[in-house]
Amino acid sequence: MNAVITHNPSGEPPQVHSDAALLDFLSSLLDYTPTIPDELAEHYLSRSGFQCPDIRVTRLVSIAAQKFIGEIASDALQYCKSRQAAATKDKKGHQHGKEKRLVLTTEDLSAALPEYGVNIHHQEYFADSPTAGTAPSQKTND
Amino acid sequence: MKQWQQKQAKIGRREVKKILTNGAGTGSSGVSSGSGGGGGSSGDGVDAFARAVAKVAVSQLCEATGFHGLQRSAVEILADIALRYLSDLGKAAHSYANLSGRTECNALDVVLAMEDLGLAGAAETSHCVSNSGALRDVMRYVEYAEEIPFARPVPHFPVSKKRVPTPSFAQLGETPPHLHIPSWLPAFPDPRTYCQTPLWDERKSDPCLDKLEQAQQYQKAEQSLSSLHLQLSTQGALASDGLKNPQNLVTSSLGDSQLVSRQQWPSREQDASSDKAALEAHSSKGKVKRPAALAHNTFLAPPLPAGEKEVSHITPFRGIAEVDKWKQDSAGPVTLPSVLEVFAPALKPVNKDIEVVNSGSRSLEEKPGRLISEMKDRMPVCLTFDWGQKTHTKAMAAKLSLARTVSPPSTKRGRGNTLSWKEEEKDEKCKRAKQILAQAMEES
Repeated sequence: MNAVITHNPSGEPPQVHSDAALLDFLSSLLDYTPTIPDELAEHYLSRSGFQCPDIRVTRLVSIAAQKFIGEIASDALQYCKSRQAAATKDKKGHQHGKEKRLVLTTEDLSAALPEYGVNIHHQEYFADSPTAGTAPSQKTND
Repeated sequence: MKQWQQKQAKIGRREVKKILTNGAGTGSSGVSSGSGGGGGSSGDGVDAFARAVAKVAVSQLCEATGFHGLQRSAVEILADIALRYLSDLGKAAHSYANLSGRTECNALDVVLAMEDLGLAGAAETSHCVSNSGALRDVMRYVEYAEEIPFARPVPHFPVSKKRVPTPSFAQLGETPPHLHIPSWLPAFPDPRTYCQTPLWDERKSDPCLDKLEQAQQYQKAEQSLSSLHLQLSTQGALASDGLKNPQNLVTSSLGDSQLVSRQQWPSREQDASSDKAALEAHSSKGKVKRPAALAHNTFLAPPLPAGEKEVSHITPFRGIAEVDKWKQDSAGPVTLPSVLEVFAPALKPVNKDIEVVNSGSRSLEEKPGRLISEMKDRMPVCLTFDWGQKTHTKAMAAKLSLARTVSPPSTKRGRGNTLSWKEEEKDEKCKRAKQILAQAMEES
């Protein structure tokens, strides 16, 4: 719609940019339904102060979040596959044709998330009581 | 990017702790990090719903990526991350809009926020927003990624309860009590809601008087019931007469009302019930009105003569062969066989048992009739389970005692021929008993 002229401090000729791409993209968003529903996005955006009557802008936000989660999931998938491949290599290839189920575990997530700024420390095991797992000789009560 | 990373570091740990303690899905988690507006106590239910929806969306995305299964804790982590990302985007976009002097955000604010939050696009200040790398990445994503709509329709939330405001003075049509209160303000509550108003009906209840009244009412009811009973019995007698002579129904005073009642009994039903109620209330007038009321009462109406109304034919029971006898005697009263005659076959072995006990005396066999008569008089039975000499002596002793006990009551009843016959029997019994005793003593 409007041509924006920016002045660059480095002295380069002003660049005329058009918002045509953005506008087209926004109009195409009306056809695209993001996985994150609009109501959910609107609720959380309104909680943080985001106010926009245009649904396309809300959809833009939800698509950004969807992309973010998709990238994390694909990274976790890579970790999961590499782990499975390592396991099958150890077992000397009797299970070449067999494909095991790909399950998203917290371990894979905790391996994939630091790249995106989330550090998760996953507990390896849980104990019922402080003396659980200790040698029987150390236990006082039976 | 760094700020966000630091934030996420804190959040990640807290989030995991929460997951481990099974606190996921309830209430706000780590909102102190600054994202979102801070969940209040009223937002707990909304939060839970929103989280559930986010979990579903995230699991759909993972499924599209290629996973066959998901760990629950992993799903919760991802859902929380997605919600935080949304909130952070919104917050950043809003702050950019405020920076430009606007309250409403637009697409460019969002793009700037996306760049801020570190999507793959480069964070450069020199290029135009519409050419930002972040936006280009998103556009590329939209083009190539598969469209996965949300699985279920999500209703608009949060649902707020519509509150009906208190009506104003003007709406109620009341004038405010004081001059300084305008009429468009909500009306005051009723004084009865905050003041103790006096009771309207204070009935002085005297327990003695109440009991007296109750007793009087009972008396009245009893009187009406007894008179009603009398009327019923008289009407019954009249009704039976009326059956045999239908013409008499017209002549008799009650008959008129009866005839009338039978013809019009559907319409009179209501009258009868109302009349009855009036009856019980006024017992003094009862006797005059009662015949008329009874005539109206369908339940007290005389039975219909045979053949007037079609009734299904009832076949009598055909169990025993003696039913034919009953058919012959259908005109008169039905004669049922006596209990003794019916159970005679069962009684015979009983007599034999008694003979076994008294094996010493054969004379009893000759008189079975006497035994039956004794049974009629309810002979007490002395049961012993040992066999030998002792049983004989015991049985004889019992018989002797019987003879003694039977004689006094027979003398009391004694009228007519039965007395002499019983005395003779008694003498014979005594003689026999003595004989048997003597024999038993000889044997021992």
